[in-house]
Amino acid sequence: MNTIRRQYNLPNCQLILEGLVDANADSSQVSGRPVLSTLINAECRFTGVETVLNGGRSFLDNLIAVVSAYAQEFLSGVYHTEAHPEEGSAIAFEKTNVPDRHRLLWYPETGAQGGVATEAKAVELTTVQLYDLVEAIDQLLTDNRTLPDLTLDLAPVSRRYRQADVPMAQRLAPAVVGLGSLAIAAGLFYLTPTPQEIEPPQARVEEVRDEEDSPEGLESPPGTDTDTDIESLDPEDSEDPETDETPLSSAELATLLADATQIGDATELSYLERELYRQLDRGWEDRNEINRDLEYRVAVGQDGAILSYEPIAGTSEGSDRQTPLPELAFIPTSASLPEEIADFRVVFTDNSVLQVSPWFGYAENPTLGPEIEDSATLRRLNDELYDTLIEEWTETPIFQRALRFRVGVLEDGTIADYQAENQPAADFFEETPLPDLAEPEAAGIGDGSLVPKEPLAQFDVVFRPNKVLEVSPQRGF
Amino acid sequence: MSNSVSLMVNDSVQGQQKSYLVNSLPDPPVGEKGCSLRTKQRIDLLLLALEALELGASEKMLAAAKEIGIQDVIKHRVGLWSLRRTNPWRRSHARRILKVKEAKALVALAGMRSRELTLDIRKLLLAEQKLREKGLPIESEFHLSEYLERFRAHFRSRMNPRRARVAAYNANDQDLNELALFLLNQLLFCTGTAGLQRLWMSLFDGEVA
Repeated sequence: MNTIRRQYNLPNCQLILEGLVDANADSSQVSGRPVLSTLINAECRFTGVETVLNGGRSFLDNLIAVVSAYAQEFLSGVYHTEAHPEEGSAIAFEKTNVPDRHRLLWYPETGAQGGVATEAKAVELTTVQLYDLVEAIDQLLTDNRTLPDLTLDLAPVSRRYRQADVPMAQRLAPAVVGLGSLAIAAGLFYLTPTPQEIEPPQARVEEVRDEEDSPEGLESPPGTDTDTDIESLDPEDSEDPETDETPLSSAELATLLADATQIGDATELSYLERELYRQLDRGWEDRNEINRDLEYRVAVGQDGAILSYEPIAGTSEGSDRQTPLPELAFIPTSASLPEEIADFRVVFTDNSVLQVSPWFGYAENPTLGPEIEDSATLRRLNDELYDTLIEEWTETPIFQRALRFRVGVLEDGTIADYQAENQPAADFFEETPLPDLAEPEAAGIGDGSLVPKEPLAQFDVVFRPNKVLEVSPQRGF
Repeated sequence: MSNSVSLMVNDSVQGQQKSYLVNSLPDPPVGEKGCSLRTKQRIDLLLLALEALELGASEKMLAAAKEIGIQDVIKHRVGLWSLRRTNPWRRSHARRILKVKEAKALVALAGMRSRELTLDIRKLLLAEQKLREKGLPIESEFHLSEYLERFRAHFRSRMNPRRARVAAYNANDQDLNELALFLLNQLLFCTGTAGLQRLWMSLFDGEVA
């Protein structure tokens, strides 16, 4: 049997394999390169690093598996247990205090069969060196003339390993100091004074405008056929003067919120409750992370925007990172601070259920706002609504269960409001034409309040998986 | 880790359509609800970093879309933009599903562009490394500082400062610089033999059951 040597050379890393040629494999016909099928020795060198890693097949297998897992951990910021094997592996990675450094630990093989030393030799890699190592491995894995039994196995890790979501830059911060101060920063961002001035990127304005990806000069953009889309395609949209104002500091906000009037109207509260529930339900992704109920008092404005929140009932300060609250909260500016606010009790339960209820309860039964009750009008609107929806419902259903909605329609047939009435509807509403068709502004929704100002006819609408549509008035004709 | 995906790499890609970039991305075990908010956000930021790397990036992305045969997913500027604005951090955020097919198209674009820019990306990262070794501020090298400045300007003009996380980044140039450098590292991986697949899989870390 002949021995053979294969080298994978990258600027910062060299992977050298020595092995035996498989005499049985028909090599010359295909590529002219014989197949290296049995590994004798693998060697890994880094430019400028004295330590040369080497070992046999189990060393190489460990190297591939651990480096793969660590590279993915680096890219996603989500912990991979395989990148940090506790014992028995020739290779392991350790986090360092420097964002650009990765500590590779090598446990040289001992004389004993398959055994590795207990003392590791450490090599500090820069990210570019780490990348070159990964690239050398990938070139080996895709080389079907060298150890063809090796394949690249990638899989995302489960939600269980996802840590509290912190800004990516800070994930790279020094492990000890960084995490400590970060936890505080993330948990108490309301207490951190926000900058008085956000540096306007004036020097770059021209360039940025050139690069701005909102399409300019497109009067009727193809591919988008709803009014709302065209409206928001306006490049001026991103220059909304309101958003450029300085957000309030936490102290200012606390004072202003303490002085604000609580909304008492039950109907208005119920619309806000629905909006708050919708926002939190859609934003709450890592439901398995919570192992005890987390409770908050959440203040929202008349438009439903989350203004502030505080933990209650023994919920700790930092636990908001397990909830969508930090992601969804808007820091109001003095101009956008509403006169009236509503407080809600929000519970993220440990069995993944979201509960939202008005802090001060309902003083009376909420309604849906003014309603159209004339039966002739209801009949006409019922037919119109059916025709509109069936015409616009072009997508083939991908959902398995019927989607039930309440849909509010103006006298002229405009769809002004819709609400999911079951969980499949909440999950798959984007598969229906409702989001594209709804024009809440037409009924005065969102103009100071979420309650419709114009009377609406209320219908039950069901989208079935077999593409059958059902429309009927909520309270009969 | 039961959802392991083995990658078959087609070694006869020479002369073929570059559609292998898209086809090489395995289907992640996510359901019909499409990509998570975090995945949408990470993909858009990756493209934002590419825009900071070269002028006229979005035009080049559209040209790349044609080249790799994904015009059916990304037809024109509006199409590209409407996929990117699924990033919840954007001022013009649109709540809609980002299908796996659409996400693959965007990531393939990132792969295409990064490959073209491999040298620039490596140069910038080596400059960063040298500055860090010498303990100098990372903005003291011209090209690096230009990239960081452009990234900060793009980020501030496109992302909604009323989102608490965006505000936290906006408040601190250093944090934005670190984010820009982190994204540059991600782009470096996109240039590799199987790096794009690695990056793609990492987008679903912590997003599956």
